[in-house]
Amino acid sequence: MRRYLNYFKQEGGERNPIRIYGQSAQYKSWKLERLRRRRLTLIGSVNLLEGKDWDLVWVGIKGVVMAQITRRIIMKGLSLDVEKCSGCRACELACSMKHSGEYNPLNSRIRISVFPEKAYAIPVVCFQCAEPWCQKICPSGAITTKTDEEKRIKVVEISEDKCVGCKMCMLACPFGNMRFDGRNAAKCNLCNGEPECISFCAKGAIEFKEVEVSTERKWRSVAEKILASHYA
Amino acid sequence: MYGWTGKILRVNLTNAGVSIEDLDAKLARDFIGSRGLGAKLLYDEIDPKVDPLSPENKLIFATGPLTGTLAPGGSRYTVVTKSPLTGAIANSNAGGHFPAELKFAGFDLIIFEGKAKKPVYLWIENEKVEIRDATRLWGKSVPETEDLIRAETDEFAKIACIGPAGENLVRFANIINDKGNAAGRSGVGAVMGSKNLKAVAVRGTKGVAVADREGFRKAVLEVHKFLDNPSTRGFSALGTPLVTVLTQARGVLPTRNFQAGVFEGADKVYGEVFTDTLNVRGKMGVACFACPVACHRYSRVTDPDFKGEGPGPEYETIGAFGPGCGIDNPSAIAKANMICNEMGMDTITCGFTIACAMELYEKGFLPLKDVGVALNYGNAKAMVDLVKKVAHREGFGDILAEGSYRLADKYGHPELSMSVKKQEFACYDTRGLQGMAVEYATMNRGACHIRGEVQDIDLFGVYSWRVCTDKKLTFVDSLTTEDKPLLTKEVQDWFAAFDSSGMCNFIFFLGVNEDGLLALLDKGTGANYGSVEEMLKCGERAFNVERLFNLKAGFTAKDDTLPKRMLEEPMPGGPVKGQVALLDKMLPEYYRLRGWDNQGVPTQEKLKDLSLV
Repeated sequence: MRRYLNYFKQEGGERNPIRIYGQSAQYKSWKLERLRRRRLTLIGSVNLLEGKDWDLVWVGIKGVVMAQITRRIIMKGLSLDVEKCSGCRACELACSMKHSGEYNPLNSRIRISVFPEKAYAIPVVCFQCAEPWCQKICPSGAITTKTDEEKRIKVVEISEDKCVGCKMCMLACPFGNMRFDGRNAAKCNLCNGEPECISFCAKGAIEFKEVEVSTERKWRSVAEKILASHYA
Repeated sequence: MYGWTGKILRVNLTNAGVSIEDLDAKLARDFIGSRGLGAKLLYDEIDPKVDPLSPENKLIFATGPLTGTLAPGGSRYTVVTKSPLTGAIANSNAGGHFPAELKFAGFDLIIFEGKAKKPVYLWIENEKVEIRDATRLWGKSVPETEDLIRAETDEFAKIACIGPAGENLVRFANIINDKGNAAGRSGVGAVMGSKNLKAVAVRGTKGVAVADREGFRKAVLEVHKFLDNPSTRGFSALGTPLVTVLTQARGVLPTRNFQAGVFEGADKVYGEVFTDTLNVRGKMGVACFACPVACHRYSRVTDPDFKGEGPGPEYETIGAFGPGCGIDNPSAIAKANMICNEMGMDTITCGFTIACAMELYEKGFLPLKDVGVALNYGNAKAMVDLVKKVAHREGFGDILAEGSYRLADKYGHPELSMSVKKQEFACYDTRGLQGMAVEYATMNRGACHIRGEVQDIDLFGVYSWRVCTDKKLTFVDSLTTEDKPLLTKEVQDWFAAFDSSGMCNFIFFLGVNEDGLLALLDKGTGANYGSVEEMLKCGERAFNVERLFNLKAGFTAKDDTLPKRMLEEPMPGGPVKGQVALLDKMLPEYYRLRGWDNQGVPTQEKLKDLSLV
């Protein structure tokens, strides 16, 4: 192993984790990236030393650590576009049917609030907090955060077995995103990676995509507005 | 039961009795629900000769099996009663969120009987039903009523109510839910007012189940996929006001009480003008429950003469208060719409009644001392002031509140009322649309477009229904007469079917066809309609029950006619110059195709075929 490291040092390349991070983030396909890393660890760095891509060697070695940084950027979540929601509540119906077997908005884990005088409607759904209030307050440890790399989601989940229905989590959530189904607390769980609501949103107001991409788009659309006023 | 909840709420306002009955499964299946089921129940339960404003009339709120489900546009209910404007059956339809809430409370229908001693409102919380005092609500506008009732019931309650117009028995008063969705025509609000019933408030916490969840889900997604196209997006961006440019182009835009078909100021009231200058959110539509289209809008007027804000206006409102009255001021039209929404009045009848008054005035039949203002065409301020007076029956408003037929008759010229069975035309001139000639003349609730919109085919170019594809029709000429009787009959039956399902007309206006509805009905209710023919038969059954009601109420073939202007005065100009409505060429064939005799009475054979004997 040391031989390989020395080899790299001889090339004069800096062991710069940021450069590696930037390099690996170039790989648009996360699956492909993982395959490459797996190959690295299986076959070892030997073959690649003969290849041209020195950065991959570093990825192989620092794979685990770097992957943590790269994984953060590619998590998917529900992106809510206030500019597109028409207030039809189809998402509430789809969600309630999926999780309770009937069309009943009160069983939905997403809620639309309609403001007719402004002709706006705002969707609100669990934000899958990184430090969930509900998880902190749950006295039976029923609420945990689960990461599914395959599906690229990080979900704050409720274990029905452990939940006693004390409803403390409902008090704790400042956004009202915790529901109660009569026996257990219930919340959006991203439908195990295939959210039901997005299939029925005719206006594309809810999308299931990389969180950072939404922000990039928002920046871009604000930039376009600034540009438009600049030329006005 | 799936789709249907299986429960009917019966409210006797005379003795404040409330009871919950079961909905017969076979009846539900045969009439589907909403419009059809309401018609059957009204026909069975009241004497069609009864005075519409008497306690003997009944008022039915009827949802459909698909109301409250994810069926696209599954947001509707129908108000069925005997109309004080026409004396015929009334079936006004509205969307929003109130009808779905009724299903969540566990009811398919509410039947109101009798008359309360003092003003009351109904408060429904699932099975808990209360008749509450509404004395302090009487006189309040529609939006105020909703806010006040929510304050004393539940902040998330959904409400349908009447305004002062309904209280004052204005013959075309309506019932408005969610502050802007109107069960508009035929004066159903006056019936509600005659029963001293101010409002119905409901909060439901239950759900609606469907028979085949996976199948229903697939059927919904297919309709969503079909509707994901530029037509839908265009309709969502402009709403119904987009129609004005089309009717103007075809020369059928009602101008000055249908004296002409093209309006010189039309471009000032096209859909884009409303979207760009008055809509609060421009090209963004607001949706009813479960609707992928989203065609509603909310307008705000800053012009000090017509200041105000509220939902709408829709095309029919624009046509009636705008070109119909020779007015090209969008702010004035929007203001008239707001007053009608707040007071609870039908905009079509109100607009065309004023349009008729304008013609009577200009021709010298209506004296200035009666009307109090120079009521010439184009006088926007006078029009708005009169609309304000109608709801409270103030001054000349008292006469206008009777509708255009009784107004014109009072001044000796009933032929100047553009109406059939005393209900005013919608904004399509029949001289350029022969199909509408048959539709206006034969629709059971009087002149009406929306219960049988034949012109969706030839004016809007909707050729995706089986009505057309089964015949391989890709083009229909609006002016031919040989094809119109059959098309009208089939379109009326088709519309009766989906009007009974609880889904919104506009889903089908955007091209979804009979197969789409069948899939949703079958998977949703599990009632196994099985085929489009079987489903359309339910529509035909409903249409014939409505006809039977009218016949018993005293209507005859003589009433299936059009005003002289349509039959004898050729269109003076525009693309259909010289045309008249050729009803006499089409009506006999229409009766024959319907299985009626030459007096328009359904034959025994037809009734047997529809299981109506």
